[in-house]
Amino acid sequence: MAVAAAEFRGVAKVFTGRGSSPALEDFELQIKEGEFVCLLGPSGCGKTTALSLLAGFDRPSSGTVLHRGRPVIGPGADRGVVFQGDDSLMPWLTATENLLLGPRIRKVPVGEQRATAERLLALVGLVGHGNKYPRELSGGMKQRIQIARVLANEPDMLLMDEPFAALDAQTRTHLQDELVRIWSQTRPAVLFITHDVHEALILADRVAVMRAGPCSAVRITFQVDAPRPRDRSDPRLAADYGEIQRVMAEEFQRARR
Amino acid sequence: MIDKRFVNTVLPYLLSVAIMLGMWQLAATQINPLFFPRLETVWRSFWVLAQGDLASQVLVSLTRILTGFGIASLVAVPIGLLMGTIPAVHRLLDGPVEFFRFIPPIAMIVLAVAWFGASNVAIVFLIGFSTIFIVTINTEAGVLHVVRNRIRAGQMMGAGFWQVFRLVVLPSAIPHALIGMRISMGAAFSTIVSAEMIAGDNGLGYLLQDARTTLRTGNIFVGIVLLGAIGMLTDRVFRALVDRFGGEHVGAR
Repeated sequence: MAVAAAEFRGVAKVFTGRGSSPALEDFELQIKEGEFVCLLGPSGCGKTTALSLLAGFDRPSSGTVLHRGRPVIGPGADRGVVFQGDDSLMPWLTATENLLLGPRIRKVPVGEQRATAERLLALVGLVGHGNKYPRELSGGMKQRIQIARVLANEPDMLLMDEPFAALDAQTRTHLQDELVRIWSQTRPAVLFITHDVHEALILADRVAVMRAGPCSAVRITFQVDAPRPRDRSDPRLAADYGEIQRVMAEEFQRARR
Repeated sequence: MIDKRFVNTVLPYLLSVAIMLGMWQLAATQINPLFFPRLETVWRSFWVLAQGDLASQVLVSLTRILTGFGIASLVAVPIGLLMGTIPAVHRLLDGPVEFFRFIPPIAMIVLAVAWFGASNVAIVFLIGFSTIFIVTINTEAGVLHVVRNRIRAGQMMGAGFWQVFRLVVLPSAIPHALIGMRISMGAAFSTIVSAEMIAGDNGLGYLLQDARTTLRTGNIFVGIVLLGAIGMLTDRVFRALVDRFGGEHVGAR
């Protein structure tokens, strides 16, 4: 059997501080090479915790997190992270400089960097905005830069933490379509966190729904078979939506108790 | 036709200066001129001093300020960066810094004179003393306030410890260090007067001291106005330099 792009094996994460709070317990998930997985769940259920473990920002309390069969020991350019807010862009760098930070860290020759910048600005639809600073860009544009700066490192995995949650509905829909287009070109494995069932169904090959926390884990996964690019009014999606929404509603109820 | 930009920018400045001068003159008519001279008296004092060595006195003070301020900042910024980055350094130096920053430089004057004599060294030492802790603390605060997601972003793009420091932490901390330097510039100006009064035989502080003993109130006012004006000017120049060479860093937040 081929090695998975990423795998969580019996992962637990307990945050210690004032008292200890168990976020994840016996968390299991596998993401195949080139697969787009959406992780759904009520807020506070530990979605971001799981992503941080795979990103290498955090260590599991027990169990193993594997990336391409190797235990994750820290962050790396092979797993690009797109953060939820826009505060992770460097405000003192222009859009182009932000997206070239990875190549600069890897000491890629300057000429090559210029070509990368042009290619990526075109890919994310920001030609002509390269010299602007983050504060001069809209929320949607900033998330595009975040995506572009991750792609500059040619990661084999994208880890996206509710990247479109703060955007207006119109922009969000547009960026979802753009993401599918970009992903189809490079085909990295994706772990995409969201609490929006519609978003998950438009994007994912597979949707994993988490239980309400604490001690959360994946409760059930759904395969989404509708062909891409997906039509938001596709009846097959509507059927999946009903099923997933039912599970989500149950977990939402439990989260409130 | 009045230009709108003039009304919004230049006019308020002119107005505030006019009001201050007006209040001054009003006060001068009410108070014994020996204690509160009229504008024209002060202007005459200024003119007399300017014929003499006023310019070189100002230059002496300014040189002392910039030397002490410069040396202290050069020491303070790296220390602040280290304290913010390495917990062991923080634990080592936090106590002393927090202790010494509450000691006013004036309290150190007698010691400074005892150690270095009534000399430039003593005065520059006192200026440095009034600068170093403020800049250190602000620089460290800058490091500690780096947005966590920016550090993580650097890491997930493959940056190691020193690359994160150079590409993320340093640019984030620079604006805070500069704010510390601006604040301590004010402290340096208040220290220079007392330092020169006691340890100097020239400079603006000495001029004030000399005017006090000879009861030349006009000269005292000249000294005070000059201190304010030069301080303001120095701050403007400092800010202009910052805007010119690091504007994007400063506007960052």
